[in-house]
Amino acid sequence: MSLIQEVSSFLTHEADLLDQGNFEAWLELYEDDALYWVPSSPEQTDMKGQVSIMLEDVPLLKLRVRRLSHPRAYAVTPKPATIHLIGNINASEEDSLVMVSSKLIMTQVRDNVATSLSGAVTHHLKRSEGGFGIKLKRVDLIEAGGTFSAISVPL
Amino acid sequence: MLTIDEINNIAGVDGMQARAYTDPDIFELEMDQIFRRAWIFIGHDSQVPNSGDFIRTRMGVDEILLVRQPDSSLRVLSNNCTHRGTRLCAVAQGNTKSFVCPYHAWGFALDGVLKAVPDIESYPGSFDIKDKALHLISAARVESYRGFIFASKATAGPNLYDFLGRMTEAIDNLLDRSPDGEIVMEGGHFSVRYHGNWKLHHENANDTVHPGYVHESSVTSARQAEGGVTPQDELVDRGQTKGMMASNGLTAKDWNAIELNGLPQGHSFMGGFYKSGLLAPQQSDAAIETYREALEASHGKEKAAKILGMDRFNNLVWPNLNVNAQFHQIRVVYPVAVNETIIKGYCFRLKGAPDEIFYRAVRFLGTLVSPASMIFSDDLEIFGRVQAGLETGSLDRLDSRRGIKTDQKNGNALQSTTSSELPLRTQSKAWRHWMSPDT
Ligand code: FES
Ligand SMILES: [Fe+2]
Repeated sequence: MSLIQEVSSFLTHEADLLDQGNFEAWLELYEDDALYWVPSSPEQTDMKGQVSIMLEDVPLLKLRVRRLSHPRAYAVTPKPATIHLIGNINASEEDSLVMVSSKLIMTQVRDNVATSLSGAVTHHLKRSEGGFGIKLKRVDLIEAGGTFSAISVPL
Repeated sequence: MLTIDEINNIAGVDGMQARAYTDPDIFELEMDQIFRRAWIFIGHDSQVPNSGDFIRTRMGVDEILLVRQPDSSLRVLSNNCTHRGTRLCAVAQGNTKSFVCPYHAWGFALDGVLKAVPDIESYPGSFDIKDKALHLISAARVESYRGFIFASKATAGPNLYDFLGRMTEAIDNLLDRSPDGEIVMEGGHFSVRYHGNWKLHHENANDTVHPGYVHESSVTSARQAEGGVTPQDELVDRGQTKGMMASNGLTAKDWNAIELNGLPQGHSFMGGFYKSGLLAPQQSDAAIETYREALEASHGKEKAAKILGMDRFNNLVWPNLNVNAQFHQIRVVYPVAVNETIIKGYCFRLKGAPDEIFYRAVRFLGTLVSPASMIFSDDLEIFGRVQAGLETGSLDRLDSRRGIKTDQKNGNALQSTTSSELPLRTQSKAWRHWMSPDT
């Protein structure tokens, strides 16, 4: 299998887990020292002095996932249905790290209201036995800097 | 226009009528009577430091430009060309020498005066470029209280200082927290939309009963998290998010003890509720100690302790500003339509304080006001459900009587002795006042 094929099936798997609402399994794809980042503005480099839509390490992602399964997490009750559509995948391997860029369109329908978010995604993947582990996921939304409705399902 | 009797009935002492949240005609009237007359927060000095600096923002539904003048005064201009109404400026902020309309190139000076009309010869003699009606209509009054800029479209009315009343304490406290006595809006902002009336935001912000219920999912998740809610330096946010989420889970008894104050102008403020953990006022670490020393060097030990000890959370300036001095944040309410509102959140760098103190304010803003916030998203959801419920028309009047018998007078303010709905009553009183035809 080519690198692109390998990476593409991994990314598709990640998207499927999110769309199935299987957030626990989704989180398993992340390395212990992983970072999940949705910057608030394009080309943001500053994590500390500039707000982020999401800047979460694994303990925080665990918190988020635990909340998503709470019966009274009102923002996700009723549960949203989502499609995470991935394309335009490119990948390159340097030492033990695979750098992936892709495009994401996420459509969400909840309570008959459809919303969508789109962005450019960067994954830093570490090879492990049987596949990859995510070290970094960064989603640069084209909506960044604008007005959002609540975002409850991870991108 | 509604008559005084109708106004008094809509904003009854026991609760607002549902139509105040759902009737587009009432919303229009609110824009005229409140957002085009009362003092509306529009920005901070540090957003427009130099001559020609401007931001594009809104007063109610009117799009405006806040412009720094060459003499360092401020003007509020309409962002609509006086030729054919075209939106003049489409960028969020910038620096300019003039505003030129993209359509037929009418040019306006920084103070809104019409300076250039191409082919002016073809106009009749009745067309006078000096005619005030052709200038960008500006808010009649622009005043700042220690860098917080407010505007009013009414030529007469209370001055800003009297309008703010005791809310100046919150702004003073925020400024006092800077060792240099200066704050700068920095670190970006959030803009979040909800499907609901603008009044729902301020009504919720000082509602001390809802956190235990609306935020139960985040309270429970935070409590179950590994490592408890003590600071953990190895975490990306030192555990701040977890601490903030857990704090909403005070017991009803503890919430009852958090003091609420309602002021005659419609403003209200609540005491702090971060009683333990890394956001509690008594919390200390290396960054806080360096900061405290800087503050003591400027103010002296005693005053510095007083400044840092002022433990308040939401300071609601009616109708559209929420100051959280302790965590160096503000939130601003922008009505869009009767059932749609935008909330923007900003934070400040305290000049003279360590960078780390600023980073914590940035983090706080992210945890609380990001569209992906695990806390705020549940509030937004509830606003939507309130709106949906009211739009069915099945409820005539919302109930805001909780605590009405036990509130106590403190000077011209009302003070709670329980988780009272006094902030709601305070806000509806201001609504009654400004909506009345003879105010
Ligand atoms: S509309 Fe602005 S110049 Fe004509
Ligand atoms: Fe809340």
